[in-house]
Amino acid sequence: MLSMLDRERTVAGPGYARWLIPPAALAVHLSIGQVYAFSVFKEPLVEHFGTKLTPISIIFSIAIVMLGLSAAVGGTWVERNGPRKAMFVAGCCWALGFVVSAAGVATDQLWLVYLGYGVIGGIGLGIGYISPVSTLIKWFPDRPGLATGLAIMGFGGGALVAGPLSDALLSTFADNPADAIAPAFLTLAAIYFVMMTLGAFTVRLPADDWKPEGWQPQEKAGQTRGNVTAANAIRTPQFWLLWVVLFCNVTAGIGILEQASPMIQDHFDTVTAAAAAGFVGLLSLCNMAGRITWSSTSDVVGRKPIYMMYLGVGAFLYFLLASSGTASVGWFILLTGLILSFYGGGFATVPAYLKDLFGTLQVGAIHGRLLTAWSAAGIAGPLIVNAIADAETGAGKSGADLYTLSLYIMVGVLVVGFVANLLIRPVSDRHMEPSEEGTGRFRREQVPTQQGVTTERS
Amino acid sequence: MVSDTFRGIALWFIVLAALTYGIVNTLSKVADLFA
Repeated sequence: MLSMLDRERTVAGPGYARWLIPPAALAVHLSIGQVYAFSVFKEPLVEHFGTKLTPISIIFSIAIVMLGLSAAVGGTWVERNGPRKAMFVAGCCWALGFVVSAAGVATDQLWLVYLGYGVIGGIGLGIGYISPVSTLIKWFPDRPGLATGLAIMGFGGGALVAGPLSDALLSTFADNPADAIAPAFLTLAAIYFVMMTLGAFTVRLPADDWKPEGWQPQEKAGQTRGNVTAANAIRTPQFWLLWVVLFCNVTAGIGILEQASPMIQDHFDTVTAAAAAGFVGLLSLCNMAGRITWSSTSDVVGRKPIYMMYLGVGAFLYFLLASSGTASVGWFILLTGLILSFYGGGFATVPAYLKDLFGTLQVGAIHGRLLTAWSAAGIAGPLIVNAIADAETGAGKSGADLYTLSLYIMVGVLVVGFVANLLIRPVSDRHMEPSEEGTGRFRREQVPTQQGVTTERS
Repeated sequence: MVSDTFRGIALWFIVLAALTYGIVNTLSKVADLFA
């Protein structure tokens, strides 16, 4: 039975329709995207455990740190064992995390929730996040941005689904949401286990020599035609420059995302708490739409130029937000919505950027290592905004003035990312894997140039 | 044994239905912002 999960058993036969693969990836990402809706459980958990917000917030923080760590450590395992086993393991961890957390809630043991949702669930998050990425890139070598954008859009969409679903579960199982947490967790465990298992048994790898019908790889500026292993990739400046790019893009976006509700209410007295919740929802939609829209666009305009836009235009938008954000509610929403679409786009485009730089050989494992930038930004972004807002409050400021300095700092952060992106060049040949024949030439593909003349590049 | 094609198409319907559920619910909240 378990041999069904082996990499060898998942290779698709001739004529397999590649459009059957994206829903498998979406099923996994929609499930693990629940983590962004964890806030729905915060208040009920505070009440149930009779504690403050901070001990409950730690659950989410552990999960995000474990996401980065498990993606970095487990990336090579995912590449070696294939997407089916990885997705199944991710599904087991994610569901088990909810079950252990439900036991923690039922027995009033908060540490069990840390272990369940934070540690075990966090491992499911990391493995699940990277598991379909390299498979999609192999199925869609002609449109890797579209393919990974579709999957990673699911991670953004997962919160949109989990938010109202969790609310409905909490109000169904008991009159007081604090008494309904355990059954709600168990129900979510069952739903996500079924969804992720369906995804695992639907995903397939293309054969090694498979390519889309009629498609020939075209030489494009900035694309590497060889392959670099994950161990070698982290020794290249390109990896660390891209790490800085992702870190800066996520730091800037997460700063707004985390403070969205109080930020709009501090900017405009007329915005009520209910309207602010609508603003948070709108930002989530922009985040999700940016993932598929901008990542697909990168297939046409190229990866480096689209990051120029995320970081360069993003810095300009942050400047406008700091200098004229209070002009009107509509202007504020337009600026923040665009910024959040760039935030989502940055996440979704990065696997295709890695493929361009390091090839497809171990792109999933390299992506896993790069996601440590996300964990770091998850700490830095909110820290900058919250610490400065607290300091400004202490200095007697209020309203929009609480955020002005943070927004200017974010302009600087994005400029740093912009420069890092500018410095990214194609990876040197010395990092490429040698050919299997041991001829001393690099493992490169036969590719036609734009004029259609086939050349071997080495 | 369910065929890959059937499972893939069924999964497309499931994920699109889930996304629609999430988007419709979110848009109903967004309406409050412009009310």
